[in-house]
Amino acid sequence: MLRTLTVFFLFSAALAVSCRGACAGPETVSSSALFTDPGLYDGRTISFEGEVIGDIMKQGRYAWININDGRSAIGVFTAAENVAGLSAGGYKRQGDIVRVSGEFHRACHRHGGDMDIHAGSVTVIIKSAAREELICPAAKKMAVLLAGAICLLLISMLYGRLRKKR
Amino acid sequence: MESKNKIWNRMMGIVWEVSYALALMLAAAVICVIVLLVKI
Amino acid sequence: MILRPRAEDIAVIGYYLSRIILGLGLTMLLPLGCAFLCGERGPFLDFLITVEITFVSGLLMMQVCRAVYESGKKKASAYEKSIDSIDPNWMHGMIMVALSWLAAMILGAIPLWLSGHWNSFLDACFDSMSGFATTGLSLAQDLDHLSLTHNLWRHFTMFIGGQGIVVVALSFFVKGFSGAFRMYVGEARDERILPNVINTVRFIWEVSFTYLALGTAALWAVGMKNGMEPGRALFHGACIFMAAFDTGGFAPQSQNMLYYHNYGMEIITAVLMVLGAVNFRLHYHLWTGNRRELLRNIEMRVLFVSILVTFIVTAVGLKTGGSSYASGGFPVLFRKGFYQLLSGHTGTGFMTVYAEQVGKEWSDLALVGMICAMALGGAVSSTTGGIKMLRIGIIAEAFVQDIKKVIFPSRAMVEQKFHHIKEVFLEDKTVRAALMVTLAYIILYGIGALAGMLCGFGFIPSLFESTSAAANVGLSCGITSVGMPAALKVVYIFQMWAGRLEFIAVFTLAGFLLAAIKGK
Repeated sequence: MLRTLTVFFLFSAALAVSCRGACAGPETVSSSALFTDPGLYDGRTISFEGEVIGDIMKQGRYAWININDGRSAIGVFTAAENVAGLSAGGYKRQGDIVRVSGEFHRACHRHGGDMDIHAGSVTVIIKSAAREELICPAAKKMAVLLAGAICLLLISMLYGRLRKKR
Repeated sequence: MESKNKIWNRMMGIVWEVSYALALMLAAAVICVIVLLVKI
Repeated sequence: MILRPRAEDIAVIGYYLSRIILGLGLTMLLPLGCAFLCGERGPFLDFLITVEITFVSGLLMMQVCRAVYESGKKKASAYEKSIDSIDPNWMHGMIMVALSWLAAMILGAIPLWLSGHWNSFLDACFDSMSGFATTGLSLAQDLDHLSLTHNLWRHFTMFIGGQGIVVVALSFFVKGFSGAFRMYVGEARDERILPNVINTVRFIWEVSFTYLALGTAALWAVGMKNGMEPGRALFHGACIFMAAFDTGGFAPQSQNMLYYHNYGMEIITAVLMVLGAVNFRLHYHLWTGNRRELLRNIEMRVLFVSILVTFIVTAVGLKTGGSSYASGGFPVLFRKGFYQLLSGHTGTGFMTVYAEQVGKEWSDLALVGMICAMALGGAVSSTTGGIKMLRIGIIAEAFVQDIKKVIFPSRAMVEQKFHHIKEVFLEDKTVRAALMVTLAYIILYGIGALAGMLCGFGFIPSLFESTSAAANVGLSCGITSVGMPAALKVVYIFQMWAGRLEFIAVFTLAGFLLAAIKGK
């Protein structure tokens, strides 16, 4: 009885996952999968998730953004209105985490052979936030200590020179 | 006068160096076309 | 019989080394100022600690060496002059240079390590040496969230290392001394541009700063047109310039040049890479009115031919490789193939493809073309690595001479000339020197390839990565990663160091250590 229940439970879970996949649109692919088998995804519509990093480069009606999924960043080419309001990550900010859906190119003919995604939609999953600067208290102490050491050294050098003059 | 000449020489030097680089790229572009046209 | 080095020799080396370390400490004030202006508190502290460590170690070393020297002066065998006025001899100069690069690696790695973006101190040392030696291989983690200050330092190390750490240190010296030339030579700068080394150093800076202004302005303009904010475009422009002109190959973001997706950026960096591969002595002659030299110079001719020949190999390899590039047409062949090749040949290492793609999608023929290009390098006394064009030219001329000797009647005197600034007669000792260095480079490439294969990588990828490290290029086909064995990281660090200094300084240091152990 227990076994039947388990099988039933697993089956329904698998069904739910696959349904969700179908409903969510194209398959979400990681950058490592794209690098391992670019030929498999070439020209297909895929979904890619990651953080917008660096700059949002608008050029007229189109824009480039770069999305990092934690392992590698991939360029995304999309209409300028899709990137309005996005904020990109850097040292002081965690960028928007977005999901883009569009056609993947292992060597895009339009863009000089870049590996890129021509995205039709860009959806923000998690809004950007400020990143906390972590400052180690020990580092502060160390800086003060070393400053003291420099002063001591300079004083001893000066003293040595004065003594020599005399 | 001498300093004017000096600046002119420097400028022309830069122009020549940059044109060397551009000539190199042009030659490479020609090679690209040839490689694409020739059936290997 | 090998003589054991005297304590005074070590003191003299240490004394001048300490001055170079202090000079390096001064250059670290730039990122410190950047951190202050950008309000990045963490990085400010990182650099403050580093600057302090640098000054403490420099001053301490100076004092200790002075004391050792003074105490040794009482002995009959010692030098008579005071330590400030003594001129370092050839051995001192070479060892000083070899050690100062190691010291720079360790000190330069401290702020990187403190930032937490490098997994271990070894990784930070790898990146630091890669920066100073203008290689461009990187083990940084999460580069896209690195602070501006650390990013500036990464690129600034290339600007320092490209011109030469000793050149930088010499610029802080007010007057020259004859030992300065010996140090200058140790950094693979065997050509004095002007009679005085200090003037030579000033001219090197004049060229670098002129192009810094022009190149940064051009990249800034293109960056803004590409949709970047003015401030960020300027920062990226300056960083990319330093990496391009000094044929380094770091870039502010993890995707390297692919980040910009911009044709203009690639053209400008391509021009800068070629300019970086030009001999500083040739720069001098071009900039003082002797413009015909550009067309007559053996190095520029060999560079032109060599780039095009290796490109033909790579282009054919890309076309016939069966990869997606085969059907890519002109833009792909030019923007991917030629850009990567030029980047490899000039020793820069900018990439507009992913390292994984190079390893997986490029055919063996294309990779062999790239390896040849990387191994050859740019002009001597430039910022590039590799065997270098003058040596290739000399070896080619020697071949021609030998063939002529066979063909011509035995009584005929066969004299071969080549044009490098002036007409030079080909002498056996010139050929010998060129061949020795070439051989040393080939052995170095081989050692690295062997190490790569011992770690389980294939032959061509191992050779590619090893050549890239030893010729200070920085292109990668995927081997360089955080997960690679620590021993391989150490081998690559050694290759970058030995390749940048062109061996003599490294061999002298090895000889010195041997003498210290086995000497009498």
